[in-house]
Amino acid sequence: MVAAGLWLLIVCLSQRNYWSQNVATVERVQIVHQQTVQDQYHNQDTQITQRLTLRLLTGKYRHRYLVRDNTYYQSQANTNQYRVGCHLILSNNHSLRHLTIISPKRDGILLILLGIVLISLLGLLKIHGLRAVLSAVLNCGLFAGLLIIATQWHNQHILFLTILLTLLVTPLTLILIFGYSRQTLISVGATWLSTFFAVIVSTIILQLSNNQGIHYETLNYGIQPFQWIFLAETLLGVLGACMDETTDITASVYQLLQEQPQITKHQLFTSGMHVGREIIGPLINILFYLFLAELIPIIILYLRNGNTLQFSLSRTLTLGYTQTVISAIGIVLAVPLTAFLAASLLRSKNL
Amino acid sequence: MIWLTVTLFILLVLVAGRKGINIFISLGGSFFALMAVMMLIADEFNPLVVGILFAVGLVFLAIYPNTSNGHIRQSALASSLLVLLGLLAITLVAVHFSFSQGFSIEDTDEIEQFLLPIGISFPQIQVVVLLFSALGAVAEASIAISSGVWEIILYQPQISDQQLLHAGLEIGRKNIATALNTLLFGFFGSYLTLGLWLIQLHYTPVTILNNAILGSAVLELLLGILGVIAVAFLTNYYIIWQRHHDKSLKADK
Repeated sequence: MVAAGLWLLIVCLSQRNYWSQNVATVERVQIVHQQTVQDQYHNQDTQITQRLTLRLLTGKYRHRYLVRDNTYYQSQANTNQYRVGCHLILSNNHSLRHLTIISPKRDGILLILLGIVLISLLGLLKIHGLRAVLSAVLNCGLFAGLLIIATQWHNQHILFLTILLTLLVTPLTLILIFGYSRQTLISVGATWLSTFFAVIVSTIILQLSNNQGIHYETLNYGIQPFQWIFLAETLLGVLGACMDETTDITASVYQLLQEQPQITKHQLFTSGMHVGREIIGPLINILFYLFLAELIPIIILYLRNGNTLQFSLSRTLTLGYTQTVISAIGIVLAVPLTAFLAASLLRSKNL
Repeated sequence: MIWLTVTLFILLVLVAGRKGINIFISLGGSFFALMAVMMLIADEFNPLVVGILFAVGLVFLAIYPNTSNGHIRQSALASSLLVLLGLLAITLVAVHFSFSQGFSIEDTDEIEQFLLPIGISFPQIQVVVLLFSALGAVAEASIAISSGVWEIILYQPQISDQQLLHAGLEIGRKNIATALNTLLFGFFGSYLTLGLWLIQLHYTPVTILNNAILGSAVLELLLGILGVIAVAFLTNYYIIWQRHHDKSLKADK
């Protein structure tokens, strides 16, 4: 119920924007021209022009028909093949004759998937799911706030703002999900320590090696200032994984302490380390696969345009690789840090 | 970069010993596997076929070095592979309707030097991208849950299916909540520049909602979360099935 309501609210809020936008649906598709093209690298592709009969769904031309041509390549790298039933966004001109296609309407399927995710989270996980969703919503809000404030200041204080966000988000998220307890406080402390420690250690290593092999200028969209934004991105990437890990370690050390109250501090530390060792591999994998998967399209484009693999990698991979390795270092460092904090602080009566 | 990699290796060995070496080797293996995927697709092998074959390989690579016994390994592998199969179906539909493949206007700086009609299907490449980015999270959740549930079976061999399911789902819930955050912050980290850029361009809400890169990023996030939720439940049911069908377990009783 709550899930369905929340979803409907999101759908309404997002679809409200379309009242003043010309949206059309494709009623008929006809191929009017087709030709094979080849470039100097012997890439062969087909260029197709399709004639679309569109029916407007919104705006003052509602229910009127119009015909537009759309040219695309079979490979669809930056062009789209439209099919009957697609929704398209049109420009907001005053005359029907000048309306042009801007882009396909992409948010429909995203909203459906979001609905499935929300309903399964809240339906299957009940109160835990609600807490997880709340923390996700809160984090998204804070992140959006960070973006807006940072842009206002022309990205100058982006790292400072991200550090502030890190300090704020860690306790908020962990307390929302796991409730307020000493266990949670220790996780918060351990997350802070390992996140910052990883970033600081890595910055020192990078400085000592003079940023060798790193092309900061390849940062997406050429946004300035490279280095600070790069560090801010890295900080955020490490944070999520560290939260996951520190809560796992503290939870199991706590459980052990409950079962065997007489256990020594050293044994607690060892057991924390043991749990940590089990989870670092899979956690590093998550970030590693995320980073590598995103590179696939651009590297294929480089390769098909007659570049060597080595050159393609040097232009696309260095920043993501550095970030992922820094995150991995954070994940590894968090194990002894958390095990130590949990072993020494969990038992003492006052914190 | 080299020094950071060396530092990571040293830390892995210091913290996890032999296991650390295994983790490092499996990361190297994944890296070369992904390079192979890119080169094979660039050599005009079908992206979907290459992607699916390597996804299966990567699941093994992610799960083998991180699981210690056969039962845990089997349930983690089986449930991850099943979930990825389901995700593949959803991804095919989602890419078809979201037009999130390839590059968009915001990428112009990066791609203007290139010829884009390269004769390889970008929608299919997008399916592979989405599948691979969910893979890590799915594997992590399946390992965590099957280790947890098998540990319960180890300590209480006589536990009933109902109680086991209850305890297992409890582990699953915790895991979903934390995995959600790992994915969310991974997403924040990857798309901080995109966010700054979108705001600087003063886009209207409609343009932002229909932006190809943002759409693709949100799709990635949602599919990852969906994969983790699915695997949390499937692993539990699979282990119960495994308990009833595995001969070596019956012999133990």
